[in-house]
Amino acid sequence: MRITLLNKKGQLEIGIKIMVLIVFLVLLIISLIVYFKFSYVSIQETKDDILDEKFSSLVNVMVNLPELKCSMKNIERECLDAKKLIAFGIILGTEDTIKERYIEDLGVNKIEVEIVYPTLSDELCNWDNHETCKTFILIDGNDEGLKYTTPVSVYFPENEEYKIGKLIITANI
Amino acid sequence: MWGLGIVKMNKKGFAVMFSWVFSVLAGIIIFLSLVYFAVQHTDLFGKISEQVAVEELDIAFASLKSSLIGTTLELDKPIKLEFKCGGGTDFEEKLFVNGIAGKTLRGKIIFAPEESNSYKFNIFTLDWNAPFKITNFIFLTDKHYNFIDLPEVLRNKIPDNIKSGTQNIGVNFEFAEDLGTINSCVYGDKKVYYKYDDKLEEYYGKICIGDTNPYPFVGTAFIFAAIFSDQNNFKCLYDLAVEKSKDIAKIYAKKLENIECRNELTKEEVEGLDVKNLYNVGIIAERNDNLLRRGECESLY
Repeated sequence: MRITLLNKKGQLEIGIKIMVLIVFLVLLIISLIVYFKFSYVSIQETKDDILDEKFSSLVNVMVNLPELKCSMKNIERECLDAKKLIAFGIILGTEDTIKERYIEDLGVNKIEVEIVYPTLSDELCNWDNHETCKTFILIDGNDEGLKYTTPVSVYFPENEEYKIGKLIITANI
Repeated sequence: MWGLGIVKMNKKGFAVMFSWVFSVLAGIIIFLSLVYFAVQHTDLFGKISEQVAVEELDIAFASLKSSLIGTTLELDKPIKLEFKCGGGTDFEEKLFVNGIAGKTLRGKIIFAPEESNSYKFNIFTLDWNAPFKITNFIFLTDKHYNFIDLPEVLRNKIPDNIKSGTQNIGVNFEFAEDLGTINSCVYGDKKVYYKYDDKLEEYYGKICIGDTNPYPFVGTAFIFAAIFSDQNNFKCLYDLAVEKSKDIAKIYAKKLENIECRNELTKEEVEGLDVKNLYNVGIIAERNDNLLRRGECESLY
């Protein structure tokens, strides 16, 4: 009778301790999940901040590239030269090594400039239609990724005209 | 009776053993959790901070790349900044903060010592023109020098906080009447042989930086490149800069095809731009100026 009682008491103690262990582990796992959730959110916020800064700096770099920037009488202006945009697109479309270098340097998938106003057609730009076209493809690459858009002024040197456009950068930063 | 006693003792002994095992296990788990959280809060021994610092510096350099500026980067604590260029088959510059988080600095040409230890870094930028603007050179240093031997015109381009020191920069400058006679350098010597071109409004010459072969240059910015970088970085970045100039020349040559009044400026001349050769650079500048003088012509660059 006494032995049975002792056996039961021992089993009960083991059961309680296993329960305590399980509860402890459950609490530990819950707290780890909560902690990682907060850490993840914090890392995500840092990533978003860096991403935003990177895109802003990328836009700044793009509009200031001498090979794209317009000039009047050799003095740089705050605009993009339509002829340079076409030349840039053609060279990068034909010379893979240069295209790879720009993609690596800028860390982008695709770059295009779209004329917003005045729009005369929906055509892609080339030498023949660059005064009436809509889209200058600078780097024709992968269309996947985040898109960042900023307004730019596009200068047409032949008739000294300006048009409003938007620079569209697609990147996986 | 005896047999029953042993069973009783064994069971009790097992219960005692179990509480010890439980305590040890729980202790280990709690201890490991604390160590884990401590490591997390000490920022993975600084790795995240370094990674963030590298990213932030990369972004800062990208912004500097497109503007002419002199600035000071001031940090809370001293760090070790390392710039390493070359070494592999691809010429690329990498940035390390405190020896870790190496990041390739794409599209930026930063002339800096291979290693600097400070909490304060002085940075400034200059256009490299040969004859058109190719890129901005970024210069970084943690030192303050005197630039007594440097011509005043060049000294004026350096921000005041960099030229406020007493330390000599360790570079000799010599106005060279005839650059053609400078075909070799003294090994280990850092010397700039320079001349000024009135038409281009840029300095040109030859740079001796460690080895026996001089590096011909056109563009004032290269003089500062020799001052602020070490031998290995200079050689590697020199090649990177020349490569960049060729890419841009090809784009301008393509643009030239569509400039109707281009006359004597040919596609071959622009495409074959040699930024080490003053004559080649000068002829493009002169012919581009002729386009502009015609009034109705647009500039190549």
